[in-house]
Amino acid sequence: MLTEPILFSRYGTEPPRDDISDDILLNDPAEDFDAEMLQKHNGHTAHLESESAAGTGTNQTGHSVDRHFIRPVFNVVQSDFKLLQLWQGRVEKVGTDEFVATLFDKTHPLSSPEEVSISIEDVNLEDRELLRPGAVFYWSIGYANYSKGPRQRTSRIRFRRLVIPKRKMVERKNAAKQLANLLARHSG
Amino acid sequence: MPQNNSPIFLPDIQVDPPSPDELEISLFGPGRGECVVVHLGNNDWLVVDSCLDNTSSQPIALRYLENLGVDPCKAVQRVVVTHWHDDHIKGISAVVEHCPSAYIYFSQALCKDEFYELLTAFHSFDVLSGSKVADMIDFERPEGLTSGVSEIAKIVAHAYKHDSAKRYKRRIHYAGDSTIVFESVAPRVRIRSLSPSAKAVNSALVHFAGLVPDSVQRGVIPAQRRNHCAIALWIEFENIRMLLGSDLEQVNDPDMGWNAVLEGPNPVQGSKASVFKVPHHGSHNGHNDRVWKDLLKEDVNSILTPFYGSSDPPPTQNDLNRLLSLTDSVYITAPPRIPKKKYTDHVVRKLLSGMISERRTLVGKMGHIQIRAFDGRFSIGFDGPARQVDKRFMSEFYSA
Repeated sequence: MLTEPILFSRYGTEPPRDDISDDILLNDPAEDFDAEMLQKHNGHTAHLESESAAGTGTNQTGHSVDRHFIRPVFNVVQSDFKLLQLWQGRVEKVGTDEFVATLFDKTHPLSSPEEVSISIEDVNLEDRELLRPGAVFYWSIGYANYSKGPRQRTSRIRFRRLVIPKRKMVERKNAAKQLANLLARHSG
Repeated sequence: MPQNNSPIFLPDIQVDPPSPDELEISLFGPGRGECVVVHLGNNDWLVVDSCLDNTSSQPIALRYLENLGVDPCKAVQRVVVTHWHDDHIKGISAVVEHCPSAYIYFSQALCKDEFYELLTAFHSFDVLSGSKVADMIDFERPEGLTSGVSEIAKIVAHAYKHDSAKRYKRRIHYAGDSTIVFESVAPRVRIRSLSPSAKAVNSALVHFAGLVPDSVQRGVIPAQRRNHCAIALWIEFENIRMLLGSDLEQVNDPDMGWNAVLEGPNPVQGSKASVFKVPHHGSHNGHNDRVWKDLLKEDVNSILTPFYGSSDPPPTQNDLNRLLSLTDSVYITAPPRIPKKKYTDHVVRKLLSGMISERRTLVGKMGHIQIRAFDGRFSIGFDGPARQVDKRFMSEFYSA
């Protein structure tokens, strides 16, 4: 099990912006964090960087893709973390006190997804503006050993902060038109 | 030959392929997910919707046909995507790719600009300069979070890839309230779509427009509930009729849902349906009394899948009692509920119980109902948790 020292990072309060430029950002730190957790859980070691590098990412097919996120403000605390369970979630419905989500088990990927109702109180204040149907989040449960403090059971829900750059928003409508025309040519 | 509709129950499903003039309809469902496979005679097959085999993660239709010794590549003639919701579409793009002989049918609502705007909002097609288009789709999304739109996007990309390679064209066809999907002479087979109506298509377009995100936050499309533009199919196989209800709903509008089917061109010519794939998992909002009276035989074989999740998942006890009041022959692919998933670590269990008020497992074991008809006689076999809904079933799951 994981006992490597890692850095915890906490997001800032910067809201999503529609004037965000295309060239500022690349990786989603929430995904990095959880990929790191899972990698460690699977017996590998790698250290989480507190700042993401600029550039383009690569998808599973090997194609280069633009990735954009809202720049977080890091508040770094040194600790050990033993990951016990990791889920990836999709918000289905948001109520007054709770939200309904589908959870996909990343620790046991072959097991069935679950539908759960989670209290909104368990979502960080900084992430609540991201809580909407379709939002993707990561939920990890484990033990944290802080450098100055007791060992704690820890549950962390973190929302993915990928954004669509303004340029892509404009391109989208054109792409839809072109796609419809293309399909019209392919229709029998 | 006179038709005897009382079925023979077999101890298991038949594992040999049906004879050339034998009808088969197989319904698969693991608790959330649905797929129908139909033998149309002469080793021609129809696949309606898709869900994944739990063990292999393959589309169940492909796995089943291969197990029968049927080559899906040559044998599947039609793939119908009744609607794009998660529980009907997982793996359908793989079915399309593995079945190059098959014509692909989408609901008419999916050929409109509003749907393509939704498609491009969630998938970065590396699009289109003049007549050239790249077939790349945004695959970076985690596999578990793919939505129905993602499967449609993969099919669209696949169709283009084949066209650009100039090997052959994959045509995408659109089905409405009276589209002939398949016809053959011997055996005499005809498949017609009964929905969606024009008004349902318009209603769906308004819905699509509302799903396009107006913010810059990227996400995935949440699970959808509206089923107004689903394709219901009427299948005639010699003198046997079948009605596949997809998830088509009953709505309070004469021009939409089952009302529109009943007011449209009457599909019943010769005889009523002997097999009914009950719409929308048996829920009350898929039920219309006139469907049972006008389109179905009294002793119709009714087959359905459950839908795990939500606080009162269909079919409910009331839904099953309603079905049993209409026919004695009700068959379901999986039990109405399954035990919650167990986490072995006690810390995980404790934290979960403190943070979650409700928790439901969404996928169980794959159930399979296989109905075959030869010389007008039906035989029924079950695999996995599939079984008949009868008094014993009801007392097992709903005893006081």
